[in-house]
Amino acid sequence: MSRARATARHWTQLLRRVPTAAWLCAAVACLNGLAWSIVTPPFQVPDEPSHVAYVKELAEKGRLPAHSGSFSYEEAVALADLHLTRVAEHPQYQTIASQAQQRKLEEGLQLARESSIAGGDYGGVSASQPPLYYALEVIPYSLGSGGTLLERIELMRILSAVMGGLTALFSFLFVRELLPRVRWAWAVGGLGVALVPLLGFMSGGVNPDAMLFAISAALFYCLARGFRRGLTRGGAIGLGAVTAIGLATKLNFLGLAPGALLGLIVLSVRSARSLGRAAYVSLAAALALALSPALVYVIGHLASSAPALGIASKALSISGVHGSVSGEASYIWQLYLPRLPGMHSDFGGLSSARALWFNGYVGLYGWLDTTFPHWVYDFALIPALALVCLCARELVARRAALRAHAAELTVYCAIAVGLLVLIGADSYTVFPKNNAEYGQARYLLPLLPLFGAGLALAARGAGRRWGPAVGATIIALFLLHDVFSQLQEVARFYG
Amino acid sequence: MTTLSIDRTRLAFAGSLILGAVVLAITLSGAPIAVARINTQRHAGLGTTRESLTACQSAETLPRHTSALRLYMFAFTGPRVSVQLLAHGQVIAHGERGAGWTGGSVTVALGPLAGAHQGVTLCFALLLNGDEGVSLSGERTHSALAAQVHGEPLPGRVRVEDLRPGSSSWWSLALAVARRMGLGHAWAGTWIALLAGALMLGVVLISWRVVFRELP
Repeated sequence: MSRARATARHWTQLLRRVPTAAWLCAAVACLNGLAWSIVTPPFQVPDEPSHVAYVKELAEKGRLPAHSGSFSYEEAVALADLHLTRVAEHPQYQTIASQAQQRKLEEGLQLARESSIAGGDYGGVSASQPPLYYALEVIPYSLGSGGTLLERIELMRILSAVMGGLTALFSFLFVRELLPRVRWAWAVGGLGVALVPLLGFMSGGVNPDAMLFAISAALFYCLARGFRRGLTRGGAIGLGAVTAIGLATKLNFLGLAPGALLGLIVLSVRSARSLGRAAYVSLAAALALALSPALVYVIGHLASSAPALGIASKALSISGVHGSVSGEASYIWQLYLPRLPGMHSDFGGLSSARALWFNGYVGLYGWLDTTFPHWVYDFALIPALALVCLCARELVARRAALRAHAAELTVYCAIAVGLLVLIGADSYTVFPKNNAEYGQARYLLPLLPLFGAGLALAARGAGRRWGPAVGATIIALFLLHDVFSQLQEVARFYG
Repeated sequence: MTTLSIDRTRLAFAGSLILGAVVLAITLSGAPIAVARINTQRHAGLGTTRESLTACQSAETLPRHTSALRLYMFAFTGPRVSVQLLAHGQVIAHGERGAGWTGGSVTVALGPLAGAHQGVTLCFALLLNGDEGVSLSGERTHSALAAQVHGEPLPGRVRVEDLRPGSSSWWSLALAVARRMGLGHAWAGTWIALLAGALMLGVVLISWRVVFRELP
């Protein structure tokens, strides 16, 4: 009992050490996610029907969803009465607009809840995903078991919004570790991340991406803390635990895992100089912890004669889907960067960096069907270029400090490159049927802490005199971007 | 020096927000885009093209103040689309949409078009990027009415919606929009819109507090 009390006291002290500003950034991200969860109609976040089906199957039957079949009866009724297939991907069609449609929806949901018809156990694209996020969502789902499916979805969305808050919190702490002497820049990075509209949109829906972003941010924070303060045994176990949680959350974390493990190894080698063999014992424990969910996942899939890593197996196949590794490498390069001489053109005249990633970040919501007028994307280039220039200026000015942190930066680069390669390899599996199915900016949000650091550096790049004012302008800009994005969503669905 | 710095920071934050609020007010005084005319009644697949093409369909009618056209075609990573409208052999309006659009339709903004026009020929070019195809949809017609590609008819006419600004401003539609927000959610009622607004007000106030407390 006293041990439990001591542990509780230890955690309370740890939480008290978190600056108030970090909690406020978390609150901003959480409230923002909640606002998005209200503005966005049910099922209008990418793949939300599949993710809801996963939670429903887990909560009601205690088993994982099937890869084929049909949705449960209750969900099928909700999808039909909300006209999902008509509205999703078709911006010319809006959500239900009359009291008669609302009554039909309410009556349908009520009847479906009381009906003995169970329907299918289809989980759609989510069926291959590991279960941790969905298992957590079972809690709000069960709390709302007396209500309709839409009420349970809203409760699940609230948990996602809390995860959005954690993303901002860890991003703040990450920037604090990177720039410990520039206190005001922490808020620029943390608040900048909290106000990213795409984070609000994704954390306003039922989607494991919300938890993936939070775990990725925690990973960056743990690594930065390790590089700044040295890796203790607790730190190593913490990194291992974060990696394990990431792997149990969403398959996309496979892209971040190599960089995370590299960081763990680099930090252990460093700490071995002072701790000796004990550092390697901690490393072994951390690695065992980190890889255990992946091992369970692989064994489970192999036992059911499924590919070892589910849908990710195809993307990670060395031979590539189309049989050419060089073709795949060329495709992945062009997914992010301009084509080099000698490369086959996979995207024709499309500037992928601009059209997919930049425009996707500036504004692409719903089922990739909610956009701003075209001129907005051109206009957004102005502040974006200004931020890039300011950030570059600061990096050049601090190049000596960068050299001193080469190992740390290499680890962050490995994490980023791993994620980019995974997204590219996944997209290549459906190429050329679809040019870039996974070319969606939301898949880059696990790198939000680096984005937050970039914002803090940009503000600092304006110099000591103007830095805080530029930081305040950045925050205001992000706030306005968020407000206009939500209004665009309102116009698309209810206008 | 500190006071000056604080003033500068506050000024930058408050000034940016005020500027944003002005832009918002101006935006909301505009009208949402409305569908002025649809050229076909039915909706069927007309096939998929994997190569660049230019298709023209005649006998289109353009209502007054048409500001954009919505063409029905599906792509995941859509190609560049350019549109030309011709009347009596003269180009009366044109527009272009860059590559990278997604979904079952693409909207192309046009240059100003004050008057109504009849007997217009609509030509659209799809400049395909890479290998992804574009699926056209519209109404199946006999070949004389169908869209033509180099003199060869497609199975029908591509569905086109003529868009123009509506007659009411966003401000005047605010209550109707708020009412619609109260439908199709977990809890019904116009208060849903107020709740979303209150949450965003909380976001603004906390952000304000962080900026004023943390930034010198």
